[in-house]
Amino acid sequence: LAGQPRHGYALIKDIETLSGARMSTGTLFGAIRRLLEDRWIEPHEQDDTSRDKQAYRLTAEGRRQLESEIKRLEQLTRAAAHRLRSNPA
Amino acid sequence: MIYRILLKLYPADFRARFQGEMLSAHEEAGGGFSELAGLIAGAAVEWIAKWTYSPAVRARWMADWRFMRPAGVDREEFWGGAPGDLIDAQRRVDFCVSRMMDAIANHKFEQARFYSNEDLKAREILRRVREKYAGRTFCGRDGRQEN
Repeated sequence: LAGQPRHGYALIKDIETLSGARMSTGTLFGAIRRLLEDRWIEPHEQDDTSRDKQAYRLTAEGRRQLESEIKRLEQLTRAAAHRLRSNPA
Repeated sequence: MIYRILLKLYPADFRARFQGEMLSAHEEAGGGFSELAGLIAGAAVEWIAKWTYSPAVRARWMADWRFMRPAGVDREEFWGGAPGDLIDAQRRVDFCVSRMMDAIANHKFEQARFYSNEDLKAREILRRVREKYAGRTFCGRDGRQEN
């Protein structure tokens, strides 16, 4: 959702492209429910979609959380790469 | 067909919100055994979440059509700042009184006695919750003063 608002099926395809893993609709909509409760995403109205193809977009708070998580992961990967370089097999 | 049946495993409020979207996504994406297994696992997670989350938190994104509260508006905001547990306690009392009156009107006195006992318990809970928020004043959605 960082790039653009997406609905359920588009998210499943995007996750599959990014990670190579297929996410079930049960897992996806459970995650969407939690993200909505935390107000990290919100419904996004699109003229060309029906009620059954509700799109979602990141909120400002969601974007802040995502940026913070990316920074955390970058620190972890930097630390891991540093250790790997300093202790070659 | 199996997918539709398995969707019934989910809590009613979750289905009300996501069933159409899930069916639509499933029709487009398809999926075999892992999809159905994911659906069952998701239902279990949702029931655990439903039992462990505060109703006030869940109410953030669920519309409450009985009170014409739209989705996305906190129950606390909608009810003039009254906390979720106070609202729940007051609603339980209202529910018991309403059921008791219906039962009396229909000469179902056994049922009326049951709701009378439930009403006593509900009022005790309401009294305790009100004690917790002693000194605070809330103006309910219907103009009723809470506490």
